[in-house]
Amino acid sequence: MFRFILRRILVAIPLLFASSIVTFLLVTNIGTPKKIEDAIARPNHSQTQISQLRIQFGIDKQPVARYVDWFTGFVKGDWGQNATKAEIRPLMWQRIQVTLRLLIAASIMSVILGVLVGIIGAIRQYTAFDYFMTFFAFLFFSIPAAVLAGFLKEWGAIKMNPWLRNPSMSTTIMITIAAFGLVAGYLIMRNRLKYERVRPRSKYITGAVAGLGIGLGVIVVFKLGWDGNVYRVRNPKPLIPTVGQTTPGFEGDFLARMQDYFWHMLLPSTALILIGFAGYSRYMRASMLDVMSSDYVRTARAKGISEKRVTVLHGVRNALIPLITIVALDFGALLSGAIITETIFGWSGMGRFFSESLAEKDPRSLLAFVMVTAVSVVLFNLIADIIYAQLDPRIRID
Amino acid sequence: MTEPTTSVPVVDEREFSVAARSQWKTIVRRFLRHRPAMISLFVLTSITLFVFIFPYFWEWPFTKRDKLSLSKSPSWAHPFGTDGLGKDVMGRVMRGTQRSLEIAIIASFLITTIGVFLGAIAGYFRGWIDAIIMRFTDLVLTIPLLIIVAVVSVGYPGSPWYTIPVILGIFAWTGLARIVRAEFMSLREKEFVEAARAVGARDRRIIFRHILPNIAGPIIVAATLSIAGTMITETALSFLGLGVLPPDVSLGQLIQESLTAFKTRPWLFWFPSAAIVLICLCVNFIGDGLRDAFDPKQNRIKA
Repeated sequence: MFRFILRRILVAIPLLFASSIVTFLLVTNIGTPKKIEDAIARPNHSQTQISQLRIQFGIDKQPVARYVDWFTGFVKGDWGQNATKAEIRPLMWQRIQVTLRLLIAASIMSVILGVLVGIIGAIRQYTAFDYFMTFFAFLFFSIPAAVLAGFLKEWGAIKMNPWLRNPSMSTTIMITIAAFGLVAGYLIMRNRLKYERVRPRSKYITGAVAGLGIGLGVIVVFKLGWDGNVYRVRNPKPLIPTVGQTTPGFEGDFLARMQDYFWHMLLPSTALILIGFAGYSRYMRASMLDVMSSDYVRTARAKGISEKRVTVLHGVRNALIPLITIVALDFGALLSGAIITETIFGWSGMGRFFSESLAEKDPRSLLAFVMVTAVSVVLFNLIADIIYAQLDPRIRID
Repeated sequence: MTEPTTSVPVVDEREFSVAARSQWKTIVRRFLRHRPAMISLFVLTSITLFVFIFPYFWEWPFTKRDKLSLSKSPSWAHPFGTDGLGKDVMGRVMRGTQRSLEIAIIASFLITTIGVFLGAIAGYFRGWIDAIIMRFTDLVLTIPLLIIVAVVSVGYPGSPWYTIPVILGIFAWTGLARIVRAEFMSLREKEFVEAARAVGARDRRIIFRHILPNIAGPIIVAATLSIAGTMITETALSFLGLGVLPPDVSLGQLIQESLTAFKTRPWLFWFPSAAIVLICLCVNFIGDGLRDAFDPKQNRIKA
């Protein structure tokens, strides 16, 4: 194992080196930094100003010398300054933390959701649940992040906040909830009795009544708990924020800070969760179907192990293996920032870092961004391989 | 198929004349019975025909301004409303859909061609050719697509619209190449390849006539799904201002323009969004249907 990791790292180093050269070639072609362009556009600019700016951006030399300068600096940890003369490395680290906060929460949630839905979809293949979830997965596959995030911002926050501040429930909605409970209870019971020989009517009625009861319970809880302008008293500002990762200048104890984080994270992570969930649930379903039709599952069943044990111990555990590698790869690729989601919700993470650097046409920032992305892709590729080899004894690494 | 009952008994060499179903016939049959895929195929074809033909009969081309109705909500004169400059949103959505579809198809074609070609060569020849191609794939993977597109559209402003699908195609084939390579590596050891080699078939023939048809399934599915994938990518690029630039129109660009006006003029957002979601949804369902149809383990009749 150690040798495998060592060899992979040794392969990764020339790869990253080549990647840095290609990136450098790309970035040198992006044009003059915006600051220099602006300076040239000013009528009273002097040649010394321009050449000073060129030195500041490090573009005063020949490309090869520039590459050597930048690369040695980068390896040593001196990533240079950006267009506003701020050190790039600490700035980047700050942005990575913001992105990681969003990404870790969203990844965990989407994996949990995706795995659960995938498993149920596979063992209850071609049921209403399976079709429903398949449709949802395809739907979120098909929605561009910009559309989903824009929609969530408008309908999940801007339209939702006034309601949250003064929650109320109209009679129509109450009747709808009660009716939904009734029908759902009946349908669930019918589904459960599908393969029973005796299907007494009383059981259907019990199901329907239980569903109705739950529906009414929801309404009562809402009426007692929320329908008294509780939030207006406690929370004068909009509950679900749409901009930024924290309230600027927010002070408070640990709990209050966590609450602040939570509400800021709610919508952007929902967008990422929905998109991630779509992919993971499909992968998990396919992988689970594959495993459940394999020989060792048949053997396990033949030995008389209960279906529950077969599903969980023999099925799920093995079906998770390919999924974990996909999650690792996705995570590495996503570290470059969920640019769209971050932009729409005004998070200053890696995505913002990129779009700002691009607007400034700042070569050093762009190079730092691409190199960090490349390292994370290579690193998580390696992690995915290691996990895969560790979990699946059939894979041998040499 | 049974013979029609005629008065004259048909003398056949066999008792029943049952035509053996070829593999392709089975696949087509399975696909035709996949209801969601067939519905999607129908919807997608209708949308495509509509956006490519209807603009010729529509009085508002995407650049024409109706200066008397600015920012009007949907009406009979402008079914999708108008934007702030009085441009008809329906005309723009139709034109944007055309562009987005063109981008998606060009990119998908390139992705498939390059991915299959490199994957096939790497998987078939193995050895140093494989090593070079796979290291190259790794290299392409580490360079974010975004920076390449950014460099082209910021560094070389005024590039024509087809640079975007070409870049997408040239840099997004890595996934498919890996799939194809893995399939080739397992298939090249099979007996039928050995047999072909034994009768003296050359490498080119073995690759294209013997192995490729066997992995047509995964390739067709991946190619189909990459159409949806590229449309989503195009939206992301346009959102960052790196996609198709005005005066030309694409769906992503329309969405990006409308996001700020979501609150006051929601129709600017809904129609292009609906178009892209609908198209991608159809493509994904078609891909799913194809996957089911090509799956040899699949013996379910009804979808």
